[in-house]
Parts: sequence; C-alpha cells; structure tokens
Amino acid sequence: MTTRLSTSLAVLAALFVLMIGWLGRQLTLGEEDALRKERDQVVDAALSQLSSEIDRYFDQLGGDLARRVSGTGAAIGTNRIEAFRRSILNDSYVSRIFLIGEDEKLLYPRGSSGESEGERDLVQLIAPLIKNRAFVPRQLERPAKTAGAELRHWWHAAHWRDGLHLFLLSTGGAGDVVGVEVNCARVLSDLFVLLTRDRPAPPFGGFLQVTMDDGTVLVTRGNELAKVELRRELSLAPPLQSFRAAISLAPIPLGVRSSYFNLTAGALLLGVTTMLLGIFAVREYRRELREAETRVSFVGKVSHELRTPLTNVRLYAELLEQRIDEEDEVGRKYLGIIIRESERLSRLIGNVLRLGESDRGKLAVKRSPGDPAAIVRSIVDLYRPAVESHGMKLRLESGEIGERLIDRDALSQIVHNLLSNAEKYARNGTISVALRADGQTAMLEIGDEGPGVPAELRERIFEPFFRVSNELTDGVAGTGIGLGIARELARLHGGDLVIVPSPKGLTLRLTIDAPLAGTTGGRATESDNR
Amino acid sequence: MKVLIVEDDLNIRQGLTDLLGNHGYEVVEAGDGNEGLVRFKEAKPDFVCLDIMMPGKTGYDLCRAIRAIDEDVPIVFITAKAEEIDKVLGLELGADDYILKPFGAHEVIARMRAITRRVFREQRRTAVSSFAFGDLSVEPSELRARRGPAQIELTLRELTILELFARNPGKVLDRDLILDHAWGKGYVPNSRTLDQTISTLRRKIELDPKSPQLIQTVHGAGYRFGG
Repeated sequence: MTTRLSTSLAVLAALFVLMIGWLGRQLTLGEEDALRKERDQVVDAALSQLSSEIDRYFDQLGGDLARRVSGTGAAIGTNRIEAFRRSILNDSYVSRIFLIGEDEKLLYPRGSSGESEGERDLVQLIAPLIKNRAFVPRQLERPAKTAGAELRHWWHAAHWRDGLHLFLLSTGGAGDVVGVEVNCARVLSDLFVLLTRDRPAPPFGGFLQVTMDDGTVLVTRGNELAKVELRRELSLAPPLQSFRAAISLAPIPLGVRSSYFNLTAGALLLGVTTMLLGIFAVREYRRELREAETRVSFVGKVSHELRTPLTNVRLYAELLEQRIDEEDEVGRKYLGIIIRESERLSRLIGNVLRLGESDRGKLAVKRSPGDPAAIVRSIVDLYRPAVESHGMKLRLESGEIGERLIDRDALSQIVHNLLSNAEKYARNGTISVALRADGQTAMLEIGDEGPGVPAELRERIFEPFFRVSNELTDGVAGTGIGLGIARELARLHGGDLVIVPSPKGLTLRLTIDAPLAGTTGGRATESDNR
Repeated sequence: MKVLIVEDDLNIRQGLTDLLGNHGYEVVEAGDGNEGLVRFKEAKPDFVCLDIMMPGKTGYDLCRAIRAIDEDVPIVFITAKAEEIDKVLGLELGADDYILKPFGAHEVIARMRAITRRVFREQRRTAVSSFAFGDLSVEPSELRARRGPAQIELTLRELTILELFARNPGKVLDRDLILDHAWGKGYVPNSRTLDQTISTLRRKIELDPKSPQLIQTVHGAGYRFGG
C-alpha cells in the first residue's frame, strides 16, 4: 500500500473520530449544562423554602410576642408594672422589654438606680439605637406585620461584641413602641429544630450548612462528602439576614461523564476499525489486482513466447516448401504435415487465449474491412486436403458478398473451429459449407454427415471442455473449447452460432452482423466488448 | 519495391526477408527500433514492417518517429498480442494493417499485395500499362491477371518477369538478364531460383502448365515469351 493512501486513510479516520468526539463532547456538555441548571433550580427552590419557613417562624413568633406585650404601655407608671413585668419576663422568649414613647424617648427602663442591672445594661445597649432612630417604624428592615387588629410588629437585629441581639418591636398605633429583646438562644434553638427535625435531606445528596453572622455553623445536614462544590448560597430573611444558608453538591455523577468517555472511545474504536477494514480492503484489492495482472502478464508472456517459435516453424516450413523440388512428393508431404500441425497448434493457442480473455471479460471484436467469402474460401482450401484424405468431400457454396466490416481474425477463428470440428467428427460423407448474405447479416452453415449430437446434449457442446462421449468420438483429439469460443465470438459479432435441424449429422449455422464496408458501425451485442 | 523489416527475432527477420525477396521485394533489415529509424532514413522504403516488442525503441515509438518523417508510407505491424491491435490501428499511431503471429507465408504475402497495390496506385505506376496475352490480361496496378472471370494473383516478381516478356515479345531472354531484372544485379541466385519461379508462374497463367505456350523454355539459352 502506498504511503500516500495510508496517510489519506489515517487522516480520514482521524477526522472521523475527531468529529464524532467533538459532537459527543458538545452533546455531553449540553447534557451537563442542562443537568447543572436543573440542579441549581432545585437547590434554589430548597433554599427558598428554607428561608420562607424561617420567615414564617419569625412572623409567628413576632405576632405572639407582640400580643403578649401589648399591655405594657398601659402598665407603665402604675402599680401594675412590676406584675406585668414579671409576667412578661416569665416568657422564655423574652429577655428584656423596653418602651419608647411617642417622642422617641425611652420611657422604660430609664437606667435609674432603682432598676435592675439588666435593665440598666439594656438602656446602655439600646440608647445608641434609639438615638439613631433604629426602632422607628419607617426605618424598618422589613415591613411591619399586623399581629392583631391594631398591633404591628417588626424585627431588628443588632450586632455587638457579644454577639447578635434580636429585638421585636410592636406598636398598637398609639405611638408608643414596645420593644422586646428576644432570647437569642431560644430562637436559635428553635431554628435548629426547624432546620433539622423531620426535614427532607438536601437535594441530590447535597450538603446544607447554615452559618451565623460570626461564621459559627448553626446547622449542617446531608452528605458531608458532597461538600465539594458550593453551588448555591442564600442570605436568610431578616432579622437573620447576616445568616447564610448554603447547599453544596457533589460533582456531576460519573455516569454522565462516562457517557462522553464511552462515546469517544466508541468513536475511536469505530474509526480505527473502519480504517483497518479500509486498509485491509485496499490491500486485498491491490493483491487481487496484482494477481490478475500477473495472470494477464503470464498469459501474455506465454502467448508471446509460444507464438514466436511457432511463427518460425510455419514461416520456414512454407519457405522450404517453396524451395523443395516439385517431384519430391515425400518431402512435400512431410512439409505439409509440419505446416498443417503448426497451423493447428496456432489455432489451439488462439482458442486457449480467447478462452482466457473470455474468463477475464476481455473478449472483444475489432472490425475492419474484410472479405468474408475470401476468408471462408481460403480456410476451406486449407482443410480440403485433410478432409479428402479421410475419404470425405468438402463442398463450398459461396457467392461474392462483398467487403464487410468484420473482425477478420474472429471470423477466421470461428470458421477454423467449425471446420476442425466437422473434420474430426464426420467420418464419412460430405462436409458442406454454404455462405450467403442477407442485408447486413452474413450467414454460414457448416454441416456434416457424422454421428451428430444427441438432443439432450445440443446446448452442452458449447460449454468449455465438454465433449460428447461415445464410441465414435472417444479417442478423437480435442480440447472441447472450439465451439464455445466460436459461439462467444459470434455473439460478440452481433450474431450467434446455433444447431439447425438436419437429416443427418450436425449442421451449425453461424450468423454475424456484417455491414457493407463504407457504412458506419456494425450491429453490436450488448457491447462489442465483454 | 523496397520493404523495411524491423524485427528483433533473427529467424523471423531472415525468414521474412527470404519470403519477401522470393516474391520480388527488395528488403532492408533492422534488428531493433533505433537501427530501424536509421535504415528508414537511409533507404526510404516503399513500406515498413514493424515488430512491436523490441529492445530499446519499441515498434510504437518507431512508428511515431517514422510518421514524423513520412505521413504516407504504409506501415504494417507484426504482433503476437491481439490486444495490442487497438493501439496499433486506432489511436493515432497511423499504422495501416497488422499481421498476427504466428503467420503463414501466404498471409504475409496477401497483406503485402494489398499494400503493394495501394503503393502502385499512389505512385501512378504506368511503366507498363495493362497488357494482354491472348485471353490473358495483366493488370500491373492490381498485381493480377484475368482470364475471363478468373482472377490470378501475381507476385511482384512474377509481374516484373511478365512485364519484361511483354516488352520483348518473341525474344529469347537469357537467364542472367531475367535474374538481373527480376532479382536485381546484386542477387546471387540459387541455381533453381529462376526455374521455380517460372514454374510457379506457368501454373498460374498457362492453360496447360506441362505444355507452356506463353512462357517457353529455350534450352541452353533462357526463356521466350510466346504470347
């Protein structure tokens, strides 16, 4: 195989693999991308739900607390403040309470010495917030909710060195604001329970982590091994907006990536296999071509090598015949045998080569002007001595049919084969040869008075190497290819060779397409070549 | 008429030379394509016989080279390969005919005769026009004689001899004269060459070859044309 062809095949196979691989990669990337988007959507939905639940928690807690502290304002400045204060402070969610008047001044506690240390600390804690109007409704971090018919509440988160402080503020619409510092620990505990108890696992086997404002992890859930690729993060709703919830996921499953690998591997395998098959096919084709060329070359060389010495035998025998004394009958007889046998050998070689050409589909006719009658006459004259030596007669009926476009060699070979066949098998009687033309068709009939051919074998005699076997024909020398070659040549010549009914022996009719020379073409068979 | 034979097989070349020489042709030989081109330029033959497969320049190449010099000289290919015929005849090589090996003498002569007639016509050979001996008419340009409806094929040498006789009716022509005229002065004949040729000619044109009337033997002198 040539380097160029191998390289071309390799390049084609490589391009094929690359194309398939690229398509596969594009497909897989698309699938991965779609899968990522789907996972993101699910994770976002999970986080949103989580945030919504926390939001509901604070709404509910805020509403409850707002209702419980709604009487605080009325208790201020009365004897009921202490009882009220005790009852409020028994609530586990309430650390401390405070009251801001309509004038935005702290009404309770006031930081006086009569108050508890916690109250005094509270005053210090919220004084800056009050001063900054942090608890004013219009500066709400989130919209105020209606806790009841007239109560509104809202949350506020503040961060000090000691951590997060959560305040619930409420007002009944009279202008006073009641503030509750919520028990952070209690709230965080509630959140922990909310985020962990009876909750589904994070989606896609992921990992949920909620961290507080200071980075402390509040909650973790799910597969910690999935804590590989941070996919989504969300700040929780106020008052916990400094808290973050994040869901991490494991990388896209190997099964998805492996399809890309499998596809590429499959394409590579297919490409390599295709290339190997292509190489094998080309090699086999070239090998067969070389073998065919060798056969053709061998046949051609054998033909050439056989024909050259045979040419010398015939030529010198005929030259000698011209020099030998006319009275030397024995010498002339011997020379005649040499000439005839060399001619017979020539015809045999010709038949074998035609058979080879036929096998290779190379049999063809080549037309040129020629005189069919002259050809038939000359061949009949050649066979006459041999026929008459067997005690038979050779009769020719032929008119002049003019010069025709024929393959002279093919016609000669056909007539030789037919007469040779008749001479071999007709042991007595007359061999009759009749030539005539009917328009563009030349017709030749050769009939003998020999044993003939049984009806069931009449088509088989045209098969290569088939010979009728009976006591009359066994022992007759022959190859069995002459009639088959003759028929094939006749058909290539636009005609046929068939057996026609005859009272005795075998009569063969040859027809060939033989237009008058000077006209164009000649009727071809399906093709003039086969 | 001069023929150039280019054939690398010595036996075939010599056989063809003898054959064509016996039939009245002057033969120039060459053993390969290169020598063939040299001989063609020197001898300017009337037609050329070429083998195809030869060492050095092949018959195809030589044909092209000859055609480059002379577009009209008849060229006949000698080949053992029938499949080469297409190349030979079809495709711009300009060959006129082919002879397939193995060939017989008759086949070669038949091809040569056809070409000779053509060359005669082209050369407007009128040295001797048609002439007749009684009921025998000789057509030099056709290399034929006719007696009634029968056609008699003649070789160039036979025609040359008949032309010599026709120009010298009734004269005894000695053997050397006939040999020089028909074979050329440089030819060293076999002692029976002339006799065999005359014998063959008599078989063709005499009504009774055993009792010849047209070509009569004059013993010890030569032959006389009695026509």
